[in-house]
Amino acid sequence: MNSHVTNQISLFLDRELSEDERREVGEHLITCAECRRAHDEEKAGRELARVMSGEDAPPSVWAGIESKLGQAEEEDRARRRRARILKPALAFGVAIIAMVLAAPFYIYLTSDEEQAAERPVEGPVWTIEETQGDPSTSGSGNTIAAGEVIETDASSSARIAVGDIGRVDVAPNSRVKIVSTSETEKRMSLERGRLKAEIVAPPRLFIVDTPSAKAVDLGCAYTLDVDENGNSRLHVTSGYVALETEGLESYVPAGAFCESRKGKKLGTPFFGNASDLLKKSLADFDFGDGGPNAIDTIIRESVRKDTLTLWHLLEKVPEAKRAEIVAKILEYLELPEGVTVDGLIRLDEKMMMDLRSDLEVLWYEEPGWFD
Amino acid sequence: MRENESESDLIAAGRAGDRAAFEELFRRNQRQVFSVALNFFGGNRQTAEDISQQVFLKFFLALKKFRGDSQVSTWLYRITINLCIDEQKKRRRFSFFSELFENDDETPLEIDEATDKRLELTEEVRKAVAELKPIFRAPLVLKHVEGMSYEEMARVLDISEGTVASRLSRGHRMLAEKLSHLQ
Repeated sequence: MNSHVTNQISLFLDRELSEDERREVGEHLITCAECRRAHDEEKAGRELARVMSGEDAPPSVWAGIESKLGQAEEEDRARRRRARILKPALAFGVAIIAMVLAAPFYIYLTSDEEQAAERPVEGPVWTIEETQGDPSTSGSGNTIAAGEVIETDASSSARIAVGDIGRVDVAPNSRVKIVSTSETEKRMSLERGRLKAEIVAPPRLFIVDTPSAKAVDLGCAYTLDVDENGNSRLHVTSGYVALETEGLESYVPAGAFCESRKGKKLGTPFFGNASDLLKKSLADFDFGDGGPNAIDTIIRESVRKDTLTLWHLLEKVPEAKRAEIVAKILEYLELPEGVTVDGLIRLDEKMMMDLRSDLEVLWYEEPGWFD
Repeated sequence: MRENESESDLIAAGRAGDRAAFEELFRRNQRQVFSVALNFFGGNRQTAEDISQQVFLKFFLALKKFRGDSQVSTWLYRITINLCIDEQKKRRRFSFFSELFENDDETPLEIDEATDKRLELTEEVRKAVAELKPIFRAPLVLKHVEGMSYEEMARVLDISEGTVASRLSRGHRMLAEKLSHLQ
């Protein structure tokens, strides 16, 4: 065995290798000082880590859970009571009005508990925590609910509390519509302007639609702009976001940008500190007629962190160019176990995800990550 | 007491709003959740308690969606790790990172010298582990505190076993470097 075995030392120490593999690694360790040093370091780290231990949770944890479950049940009961309130039905059409003389018509939604639970129920209204200037809103007072709109002019802005998971700042000259405030989906639509979101929630709970894509929160903070043509620009400042449109997805970590243009394919993510030439070539490739020359420039200009851009490009370029991209990525990272160059050129889904998992370590080093 | 009831029976009862079934599910799984959070955050008990409460609240409120195609424990581990990472990000964002290293205001226990030294070492290792990036920290905690196999870690962390191995390897080596004065 000539190549180093550092990526197998963990498996070696945990006896997860076959007898033959184990013998090969062992023989290599005898002759290779570099791998032996890595082996000794890892072994020392393991000895230390073994002293970590578990403990039972103190009784106060269950007491707190019981108390909060009680609150949640009370809120649920209140929602069900509201759902039973008489609501006006839609008036019949003109022909029917002629027949029944436009009689007012009311129905009970239902008093059946099961049916009420299955019907989509919007969550509580959100609070507009702060305003500057005089933004207009179709909500009442300092609250805003699903279906309502907030609009700012050049001299106004607003801050919305997104339930208990974070907040959204609506910048001047922006229009935002609240789509859903439910427990399972918190969603709004940025029709134009800019918003800044800071969210701490399970992935995919918070979504912002724009005319050209949707931004799906994966645990993050970001700024989203929509111009007068409906084109979007996403800048992630913490965590990561998925920008999605028509079944395509760009995975955008902190420090990176991604654009989408109405009627065009989804843009490729790039880090803000990428070279100007890379950014220009990427825009030509994504939205212009850059073609092979643009791809060559992007590959040539890419450095360590631009593997973010390269990884996404693998799925977008002709097969003949994929080998060059993989070769560039290999300048910065060894392929993970089980991932092959051929597999990546074939765009094998599992190998692509395994490669991304390892590349994320390079991307995380961008300021703003949680290291 | 419901310790003899199967997990699936408890889940069915929990879905119907049976609080005692919730409590039994909590009793069976609390140690794993609290232990992971405690070691993830350098031994900070207050944070581990907060995380544990959030984990079980999410679990109970989402119980109706549990498809039963994985064990409750796997699901809880996944929620725990995700919440720990979210909490870490929140701390960084609001510059609360120093909290990790504050001492809990607890009455000291009466312990012998050998135990005292072991506890000191445990605390030092926990704090060093808490300085690692979460992607390296999570597999270390799951392996050494929960004794998970590569397959289990891969399932909980939603990564391949090869990635688990490489992250464990780097995590162990970084830990050894941070605590080189102890070797």
